[in-house]
Amino acid sequence: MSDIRRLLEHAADGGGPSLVTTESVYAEAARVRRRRRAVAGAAAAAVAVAVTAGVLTGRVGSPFRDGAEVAARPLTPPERAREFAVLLRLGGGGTVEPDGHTPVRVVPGTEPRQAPGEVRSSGPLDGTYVVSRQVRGGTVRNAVTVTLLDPAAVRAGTAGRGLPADLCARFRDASAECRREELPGGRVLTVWVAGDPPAAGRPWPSREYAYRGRLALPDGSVLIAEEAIDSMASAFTTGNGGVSSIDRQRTLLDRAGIRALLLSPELLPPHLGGKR
Amino acid sequence: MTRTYDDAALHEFVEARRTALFRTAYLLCGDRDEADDLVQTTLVKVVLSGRRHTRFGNLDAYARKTLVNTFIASRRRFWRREHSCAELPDRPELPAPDRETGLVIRAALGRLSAQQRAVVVLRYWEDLSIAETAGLLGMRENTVKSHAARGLSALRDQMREGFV
Repeated sequence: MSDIRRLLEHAADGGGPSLVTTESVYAEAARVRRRRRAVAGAAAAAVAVAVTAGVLTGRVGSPFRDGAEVAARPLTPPERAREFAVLLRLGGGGTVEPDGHTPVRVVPGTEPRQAPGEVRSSGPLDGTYVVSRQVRGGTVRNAVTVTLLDPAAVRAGTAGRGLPADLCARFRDASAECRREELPGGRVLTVWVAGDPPAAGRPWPSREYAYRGRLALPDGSVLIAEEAIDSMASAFTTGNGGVSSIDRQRTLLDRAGIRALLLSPELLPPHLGGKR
Repeated sequence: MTRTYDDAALHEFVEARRTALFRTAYLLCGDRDEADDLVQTTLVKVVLSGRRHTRFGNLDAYARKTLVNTFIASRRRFWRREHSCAELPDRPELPAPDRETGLVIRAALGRLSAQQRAVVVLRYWEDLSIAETAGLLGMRENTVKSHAARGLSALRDQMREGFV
């Protein structure tokens, strides 16, 4: 047993030091407590408002009887999935389900790096969506994640440096097929092929490739979209860890698809020119 | 030791255990960033629920259980999150002999199922007994024994291939 422990010791040594600090743990715990209190407070306030409104409308009649809504309410997960399906232009060719809210963790140098537990996002449809489609007689599932990071999150993630002016210049490998596009209104769209970086210390043999993109906005925010591929799909990798070509029948978004998704105003709040 | 947790003791626990938990997490998942996430998630849960635990042993077991369950739950997803690294490498790093051993072992661990990996790490890294491992993973002892045997056998095979 001691031999096995010694071998495991070798494996554990490769991890280096942890980035998690006691302070970051307590900061995150405080955030969770604040969120819980806010949710509890909001629920109590909502009940109070509902009760008061019920009493008032019972006495004097509702000013909103015609059905006009005062403000947009947050979407429920099924509504978000339906809106997202429209943005993906799936037509009747697949189903979309929300998969919780999973902010994007990104490669430093290509995207802001957030410390664990520090990722926050602020887009109206932010989250991960699982798309199921029938391809070649079988069901293929893809996950698409969109995240809007506000300027503070970008600054925090890049140690105050902000996003690189030309992301494509950071890729040393031509296989990234990085394209940068300057758009009206000071926006910069970048789309590239991403995969698991071939760094040493990564034992996982599979390398998965899909398109990924980001839209840098003039206020310093950045909208990120990525497709995660089923890691079990042998179509994307070769057995020895080499890269096979991207199978476009199994991936959901091509370059144009991810571009169209990133330019959808539905993904942005109104103060950034969005619809919601 | 039967003292109730106060804030100072919780703080001390987090400070004392975070590195050890990170090493366990790294063995489980094989990825530094994911290991950081696992540890952060685990310790936040420990801090939020720490006062409910009345014994140090309980808290340690709770932290270990949370870590392993979070890891296994992450592997139930059909897709995995992006792997990120500290820097984009200029060229693949050339492994030193010791590092190469670590790489081969991590690759071998990575080919085990999540449950097998959890059993191997808990039994042979955390030195838990079969009964403790079974209790922590919610498995029967015979299942733990068979996962441990199969995991070790697979590790041996992978190690042999790795060094041939």
